[in-house]
Amino acid sequence: MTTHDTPKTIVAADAEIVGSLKSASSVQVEGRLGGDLTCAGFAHIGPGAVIRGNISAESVTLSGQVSGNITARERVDLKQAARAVGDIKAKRLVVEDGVVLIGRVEVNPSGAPIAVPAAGGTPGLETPAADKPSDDSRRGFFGKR
Amino acid sequence: MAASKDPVFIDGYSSVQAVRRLRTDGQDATAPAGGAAGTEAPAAARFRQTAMPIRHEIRCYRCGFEFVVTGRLDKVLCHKCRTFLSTENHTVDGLWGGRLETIGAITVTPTGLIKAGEVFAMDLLLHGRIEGGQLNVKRRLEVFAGASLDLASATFRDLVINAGMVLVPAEPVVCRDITIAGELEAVVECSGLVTVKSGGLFRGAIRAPRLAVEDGAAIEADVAVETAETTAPATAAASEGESHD
Repeated sequence: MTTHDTPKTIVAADAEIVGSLKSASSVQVEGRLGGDLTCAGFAHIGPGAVIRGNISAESVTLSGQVSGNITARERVDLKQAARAVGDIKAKRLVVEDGVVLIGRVEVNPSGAPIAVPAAGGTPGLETPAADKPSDDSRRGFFGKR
Repeated sequence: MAASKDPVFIDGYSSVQAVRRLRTDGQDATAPAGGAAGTEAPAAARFRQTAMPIRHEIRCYRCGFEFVVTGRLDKVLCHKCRTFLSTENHTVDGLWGGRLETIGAITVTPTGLIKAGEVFAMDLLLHGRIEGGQLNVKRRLEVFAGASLDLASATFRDLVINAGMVLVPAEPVVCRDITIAGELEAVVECSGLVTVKSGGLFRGAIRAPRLAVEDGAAIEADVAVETAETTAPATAAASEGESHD
């Protein structure tokens, strides 16, 4: 475990914080947090934790519940019991079977923008809708953003 | 009695006896199978595991009737329309334009082309091309790099997109399970598990009860992953959180 991974700030299971939490190191949340969590290191959200706010960290391991966006510079781990309602943006993502996840996910291990497949790249297939006029059937389940 | 002319049937009890005999021989070749009379069989000789015959889920390609056959598939008779179903595995390595029906697997090689054909199979492994026609795959449709097909004219239960394959269907993909090791840009509605393998890329939208993403996968999508069981506790917890605030 690196220095960043060792949690220096711990929100215990019987604790509740109303407001934002900022830390220069890693944070472990087992209780409730009613605000944003920003940390420079590793954010570990325990199985009983409930966070109502955005999370920004180097890496995030989520076993509890989060209602908010998750942004990680490196990696997001969603464990089996995790419930995440919000957008996820990270370089790498691991989702275990059993997770509840509602939101937009943008994950690209290479870091470069994901290339749209070339038009007509696969014979017999229609071109992607990226350069097509708007079509409601391709907007996804969340409608117009 | 014409017992010698009858086919040999192996019932469940015989299978258990055979497994037990095998285990006994494996543990101690000199020990008698049943043990000496009046003495208990040694613990090592007790059978611990039953070898169950394979269950085959069959769907008749004539009438659509679904039934289950256990054991080896030799001659399969549809219980409803009384048609003998072909169990052969086919390989298409050239042009094919007719009707191809089997309850086995069909493999289309890279040089294979099914044009305006009607295909019914349990599994389809596609390395080549399918143009037009109708494609009915009961179980798994697996597409490999360089393959080409129109998913709109295909029905299948599970979809596997292997590494190197880029699939951009215009219509939403509706099935049970999807495994993505290649690239898929689509709206996906699954009733089972969506798996994005390492190196796989998915763009679009997912609605499924289960999602598994391996480390190294790339996703740019709207995701709605929840089951009926998980929705209720999540809602309860959320309302609890609100009341707590």
